Amino acid sequence: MPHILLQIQLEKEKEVDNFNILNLFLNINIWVKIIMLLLISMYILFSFVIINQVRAMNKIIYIPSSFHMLFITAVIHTIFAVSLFLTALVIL
Amino acid sequence: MPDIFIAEKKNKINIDNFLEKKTDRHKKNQPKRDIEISKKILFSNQKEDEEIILFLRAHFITNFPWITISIILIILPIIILIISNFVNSSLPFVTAELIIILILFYYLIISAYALINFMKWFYNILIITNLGIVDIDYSGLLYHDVAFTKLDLVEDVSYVKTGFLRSLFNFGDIFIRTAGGKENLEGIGIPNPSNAAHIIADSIGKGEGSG
Repeated sequence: MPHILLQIQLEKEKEVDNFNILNLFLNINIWVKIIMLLLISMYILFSFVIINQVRAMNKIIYIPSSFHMLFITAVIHTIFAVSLFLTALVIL
Repeated sequence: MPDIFIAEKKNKINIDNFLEKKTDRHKKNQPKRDIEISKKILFSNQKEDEEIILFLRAHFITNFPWITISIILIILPIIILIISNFVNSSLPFVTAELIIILILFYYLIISAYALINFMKWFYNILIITNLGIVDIDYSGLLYHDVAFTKLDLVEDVSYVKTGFLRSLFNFGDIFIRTAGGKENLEGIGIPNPSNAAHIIADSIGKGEGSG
Protein backbone atom coordinates (compact mmCIF):
# COMPACT_ATOMS: atom_id res chain seq x y z
CA MET A 1 0.00 0.00 0.00
CA PRO A 2 2.65 2.63 0.89
CA HIS A 3 4.49 1.59 -2.25
CA ILE A 4 1.50 2.54 -4.43
CA LEU A 5 1.13 5.87 -2.60
CA LEU A 6 4.78 6.65 -3.19
CA GLN A 7 4.38 5.85 -6.89
CA ILE A 8 1.35 8.16 -7.14
CA GLN A 9 3.28 10.92 -5.39
CA LEU A 10 6.23 10.49 -7.77
CA GLU A 11 3.92 10.67 -10.79
CA LYS A 12 2.36 13.86 -9.44
CA GLU A 13 5.80 15.41 -8.94
CA LYS A 14 6.74 14.46 -12.49
CA GLU A 15 3.59 16.15 -13.80
CA VAL A 16 4.41 19.30 -11.83
CA ASP A 17 7.95 19.27 -13.28
CA ASN A 18 6.59 18.91 -16.81
CA PHE A 19 4.19 21.75 -16.17
CA ASN A 20 7.04 23.91 -14.88
CA ILE A 21 9.13 23.22 -17.96
CA LEU A 22 6.17 24.06 -20.21
CA ASN A 23 5.53 27.19 -18.20
CA LEU A 24 9.16 28.16 -18.56
CA PHE A 25 8.99 27.88 -22.36
CA LEU A 26 5.78 29.85 -22.51
CA ASN A 27 7.29 32.60 -20.39
CA ILE A 28 8.07 35.55 -22.68
CA ASN A 29 10.89 36.78 -20.43
CA ILE A 30 12.92 33.68 -21.20
CA TRP A 31 12.52 34.26 -24.92
CA VAL A 32 13.50 37.91 -24.52
CA LYS A 33 16.62 36.79 -22.67
CA ILE A 34 17.49 34.20 -25.33
CA ILE A 35 17.00 36.71 -28.16
CA MET A 36 19.09 39.36 -26.37
CA LEU A 37 21.89 36.89 -25.68
CA LEU A 38 21.87 35.75 -29.32
CA LEU A 39 22.02 39.34 -30.56
CA ILE A 40 24.86 40.27 -28.22
CA SER A 41 26.81 37.11 -29.09
CA MET A 42 26.49 38.00 -32.79
CA TYR A 43 27.69 41.47 -31.93
CA ILE A 44 30.72 40.00 -30.15
CA LEU A 45 31.63 38.15 -33.35
CA PHE A 46 31.26 41.41 -35.26
CA SER A 47 33.56 43.19 -32.79
CA PHE A 48 36.19 40.50 -33.38
CA VAL A 49 35.91 41.22 -37.10
CA ILE A 50 36.69 44.89 -36.32
CA ILE A 51 39.81 43.84 -34.39
CA ASN A 52 40.93 41.67 -37.31
CA GLN A 53 40.36 44.52 -39.75
CA VAL A 54 42.41 46.95 -37.65
CA ARG A 55 45.19 44.37 -37.42
CA ALA A 56 45.08 43.80 -41.20
CA MET A 57 45.15 47.51 -41.97
CA ASN A 58 48.01 48.06 -39.52
CA LYS A 59 49.99 45.51 -41.50
CA ILE A 60 49.30 47.39 -44.72
CA ILE A 61 50.17 50.81 -43.34
CA TYR A 62 52.19 51.71 -40.27
CA ILE A 63 51.39 55.11 -38.82
CA PRO A 64 53.40 55.46 -35.59
CA SER A 65 51.21 58.11 -33.96
CA SER A 66 48.11 55.95 -34.10
CA PHE A 67 49.38 52.40 -34.53
CA HIS A 68 48.14 51.21 -31.14
CA MET A 69 45.30 53.69 -30.69
CA LEU A 70 42.77 52.07 -33.04
CA PHE A 71 43.72 48.55 -32.01
CA ILE A 72 43.25 49.37 -28.30
CA THR A 73 39.92 51.06 -29.10
CA ALA A 74 38.74 47.95 -30.98
CA VAL A 75 39.84 45.68 -28.11
CA ILE A 76 38.07 47.89 -25.52
CA HIS A 77 34.97 47.76 -27.71
CA THR A 78 35.09 43.94 -27.69
CA ILE A 79 35.62 43.88 -23.91
CA PHE A 80 32.51 46.05 -23.50
CA ALA A 81 30.53 43.68 -25.75
CA VAL A 82 31.62 40.61 -23.74
CA SER A 83 30.83 42.44 -20.48
CA LEU A 84 27.37 43.27 -21.80
CA PHE A 85 26.80 39.61 -22.69
CA LEU A 86 27.77 38.52 -19.16
CA THR A 87 25.63 41.26 -17.60
CA ALA A 88 22.63 40.21 -19.72
CA LEU A 89 23.21 36.59 -18.74
CA VAL A 90 23.12 37.48 -15.06
CA ILE A 91 20.46 40.18 -14.75
CA LEU A 92 17.88 39.24 -17.38
CA MET B 1 66.21 111.53 -79.59
CA PRO B 2 64.88 112.20 -76.15
CA ASP B 3 63.68 109.25 -74.12
CA ILE B 4 60.00 109.30 -73.37
CA PHE B 5 60.22 106.84 -70.48
CA ILE B 6 63.20 105.41 -68.66
CA ALA B 7 62.44 102.51 -66.35
CA GLU B 8 63.97 102.91 -62.92
CA LYS B 9 66.40 100.23 -61.83
CA LYS B 10 64.68 100.23 -58.46
CA ASN B 11 61.51 98.80 -60.05
CA LYS B 12 63.42 95.82 -61.45
CA ILE B 13 64.78 95.04 -58.01
CA ASN B 14 61.27 95.25 -56.62
CA ILE B 15 60.00 92.75 -59.19
CA ASP B 16 62.86 90.39 -58.33
CA ASN B 17 62.02 90.73 -54.65
CA PHE B 18 58.36 90.13 -55.40
CA LEU B 19 59.15 86.97 -57.37
CA GLU B 20 61.39 85.69 -54.58
CA LYS B 21 58.71 86.39 -52.00
CA LYS B 22 56.10 84.66 -54.17
CA THR B 23 58.31 81.58 -54.56
CA ASP B 24 58.88 81.49 -50.81
CA ARG B 25 55.15 81.76 -50.19
CA HIS B 26 54.53 78.95 -52.70
CA LYS B 27 57.06 76.79 -50.88
CA LYS B 28 55.41 77.61 -47.56
CA ASN B 29 51.99 76.67 -48.93
CA GLN B 30 53.19 73.23 -49.95
CA PRO B 31 52.02 70.46 -47.63
CA LYS B 32 55.14 70.64 -45.50
CA ARG B 33 53.50 68.99 -42.51
CA ASP B 34 52.64 65.90 -44.55
CA ILE B 35 56.23 65.51 -45.65
CA GLU B 36 57.52 65.74 -42.08
CA ILE B 37 55.09 63.06 -40.88
CA SER B 38 55.71 60.80 -43.83
CA LYS B 39 59.30 60.02 -42.76
CA LYS B 40 57.96 57.77 -40.01
CA ILE B 41 55.13 56.22 -42.01
CA LEU B 42 55.72 52.83 -43.56
CA PHE B 43 53.54 50.75 -45.86
CA SER B 44 53.62 47.20 -47.13
CA ASN B 45 55.76 46.49 -50.23
CA GLN B 46 57.78 49.64 -49.55
CA LYS B 47 61.27 49.47 -51.04
CA GLU B 48 64.34 50.48 -49.06
CA ASP B 49 65.07 53.54 -51.16
CA GLU B 50 61.42 54.51 -51.45
CA GLU B 51 60.57 57.80 -49.76
CA ILE B 52 57.14 59.21 -49.21
CA ILE B 53 56.64 62.58 -50.88
CA LEU B 54 52.98 63.10 -50.09
CA PHE B 55 50.67 61.43 -47.62
CA LEU B 56 47.08 62.30 -48.42
CA ARG B 57 43.94 61.57 -46.48
CA ALA B 58 40.48 63.11 -46.76
CA HIS B 59 39.89 66.42 -44.99
CA PHE B 60 38.65 65.97 -41.41
CA ILE B 61 35.52 67.94 -42.25
CA THR B 62 34.40 64.97 -44.42
CA ASN B 63 33.68 63.21 -41.10
CA PHE B 64 31.03 65.79 -40.28
CA PRO B 65 27.97 63.71 -41.44
CA TRP B 66 28.71 60.62 -39.35
CA ILE B 67 29.76 62.67 -36.31
CA THR B 68 26.45 64.57 -36.51
CA ILE B 69 24.46 61.32 -36.90
CA SER B 70 26.33 59.80 -33.92
CA ILE B 71 25.57 62.82 -31.71
CA ILE B 72 21.88 62.68 -32.69
CA LEU B 73 21.78 58.94 -31.97
CA ILE B 74 23.45 59.50 -28.58
CA ILE B 75 20.84 62.09 -27.61
CA LEU B 76 17.87 60.11 -29.02
CA PRO B 77 17.34 57.64 -26.09
CA ILE B 78 17.32 60.53 -23.61
CA ILE B 79 14.52 62.21 -25.62
CA ILE B 80 12.64 58.91 -25.89
CA LEU B 81 12.95 58.36 -22.13
CA ILE B 82 11.59 61.85 -21.45
CA ILE B 83 8.66 61.24 -23.86
CA SER B 84 7.96 57.77 -22.43
CA ASN B 85 7.44 59.33 -19.00
CA PHE B 86 4.38 61.13 -20.38
CA VAL B 87 3.06 58.15 -22.34
CA ASN B 88 1.79 55.43 -20.04
CA SER B 89 2.32 52.21 -21.95
CA SER B 90 3.59 49.20 -20.11
CA LEU B 91 4.41 45.94 -21.86
CA PRO B 92 4.55 42.91 -19.55
CA PHE B 93 8.01 41.73 -20.60
CA VAL B 94 9.72 45.16 -20.55
CA THR B 95 11.54 45.16 -17.26
CA ALA B 96 13.99 47.72 -15.90
CA GLU B 97 16.86 45.24 -16.43
CA LEU B 98 15.89 44.74 -20.07
CA ILE B 99 15.78 48.50 -20.64
CA ILE B 100 19.28 48.87 -19.15
CA ILE B 101 20.65 46.09 -21.37
CA LEU B 102 18.92 47.51 -24.45
CA ILE B 103 20.31 51.01 -23.80
CA LEU B 104 23.83 49.66 -23.25
CA PHE B 105 23.55 47.56 -26.42
CA TYR B 106 22.29 50.56 -28.34
CA TYR B 107 25.26 52.69 -27.24
CA LEU B 108 27.62 49.85 -28.12
CA ILE B 109 26.19 49.79 -31.66
CA ILE B 110 26.66 53.58 -31.92
CA SER B 111 30.28 53.22 -30.80
CA ALA B 112 30.82 50.58 -33.50
CA TYR B 113 29.20 52.85 -36.08
CA ALA B 114 31.54 55.69 -35.08
CA LEU B 115 34.58 53.40 -35.00
CA ILE B 116 33.89 51.96 -38.47
CA ASN B 117 33.31 55.41 -39.95
CA PHE B 118 36.51 56.70 -38.35
CA MET B 119 38.38 53.73 -39.78
CA LYS B 120 36.90 54.47 -43.22
CA TRP B 121 38.36 57.97 -43.01
CA PHE B 122 41.61 56.94 -41.34
CA TYR B 123 42.52 54.11 -43.72
CA ASN B 124 41.54 55.79 -46.98
CA ILE B 125 44.98 56.97 -47.93
CA LEU B 126 46.78 58.08 -51.06
CA ILE B 127 50.58 57.95 -50.80
CA ILE B 128 52.89 59.47 -53.37
CA THR B 129 56.45 58.21 -53.18
CA ASN B 130 59.53 58.89 -55.28
CA LEU B 131 58.88 55.58 -57.08
CA GLY B 132 55.14 55.27 -57.31
CA ILE B 133 51.66 55.81 -56.00
CA VAL B 134 49.89 53.71 -53.37
CA ASP B 135 46.13 53.98 -53.09
CA ILE B 136 44.63 52.34 -50.00
CA ASP B 137 40.84 52.16 -50.12
CA TYR B 138 38.92 51.04 -47.10
CA SER B 139 35.23 51.28 -47.74
CA GLY B 140 33.76 48.83 -45.29
CA LEU B 141 34.47 46.18 -42.73
CA LEU B 142 34.68 43.45 -45.31
CA TYR B 143 36.32 45.33 -48.15
CA HIS B 144 39.69 46.97 -48.56
CA ASP B 145 41.70 47.48 -51.71
CA VAL B 146 45.35 48.41 -52.08
CA ALA B 147 46.68 49.55 -55.46
CA PHE B 148 50.34 50.21 -56.29
CA THR B 149 51.34 52.06 -59.45
CA LYS B 150 54.76 53.12 -60.69
CA LEU B 151 55.19 56.79 -61.43
CA ASP B 152 56.17 56.10 -65.05
CA LEU B 153 52.75 54.51 -65.60
CA VAL B 154 50.94 57.67 -64.52
CA GLU B 155 49.54 59.51 -67.51
CA ASP B 156 47.46 62.32 -66.18
CA VAL B 157 46.45 63.99 -62.93
CA SER B 158 43.33 66.05 -62.44
CA TYR B 159 41.40 67.45 -59.52
CA VAL B 160 37.83 68.52 -58.95
CA LYS B 161 36.72 71.00 -56.31
CA THR B 162 33.00 71.67 -56.47
CA GLY B 163 30.45 72.75 -53.92
CA PHE B 164 30.21 75.26 -51.12
CA LEU B 165 31.85 73.19 -48.36
CA ARG B 166 34.70 72.09 -50.61
CA SER B 167 35.44 75.67 -51.61
CA LEU B 168 35.13 76.88 -48.01
CA PHE B 169 37.46 74.27 -46.53
CA ASN B 170 39.61 73.89 -49.64
CA PHE B 171 39.31 70.18 -50.32
CA GLY B 172 38.47 68.15 -53.41
CA ASP B 173 38.97 64.95 -55.35
CA ILE B 174 42.16 63.98 -57.15
CA PHE B 175 42.05 61.56 -60.08
CA ILE B 176 45.19 59.87 -61.34
CA ARG B 177 44.93 58.15 -64.70
CA THR B 178 47.33 55.32 -65.38
CA ALA B 179 48.51 53.85 -68.67
CA GLY B 180 47.78 50.50 -70.24
CA GLY B 181 44.29 49.84 -68.98
CA LYS B 182 45.40 49.73 -65.37
CA GLU B 183 42.93 50.90 -62.79
CA ASN B 184 42.73 54.61 -62.10
CA LEU B 185 43.59 55.92 -58.66
CA GLU B 186 41.62 58.50 -56.79
CA GLY B 187 41.78 60.49 -53.62
CA ILE B 188 38.42 61.72 -52.37
CA GLY B 189 38.10 64.84 -50.22
CA ILE B 190 41.82 65.61 -50.24
CA PRO B 191 42.79 68.92 -48.59
CA ASN B 192 44.44 71.45 -50.87
CA PRO B 193 43.94 69.33 -54.03
CA SER B 194 45.57 71.80 -56.41
CA ASN B 195 48.83 71.68 -54.51
CA ALA B 196 48.77 67.90 -54.29
CA ALA B 197 47.91 67.59 -57.99
CA HIS B 198 50.84 69.85 -58.88
CA ILE B 199 53.26 67.80 -56.79
CA ILE B 200 52.01 64.56 -58.42
CA ALA B 201 52.20 66.15 -61.87
CA ASP B 202 55.78 67.22 -61.15
CA SER B 203 56.66 63.68 -60.07
CA ILE B 204 55.30 62.05 -63.24
CA GLY B 205 58.10 60.57 -65.29
CA LYS B 206 60.61 60.76 -62.45
CA GLY B 207 59.89 57.24 -61.27
CA GLU B 208 62.05 54.16 -61.54
CA GLY B 209 62.46 52.93 -65.07
CA SER B 210 61.45 56.16 -66.69
CA GLY B 211 63.67 57.59 -69.41
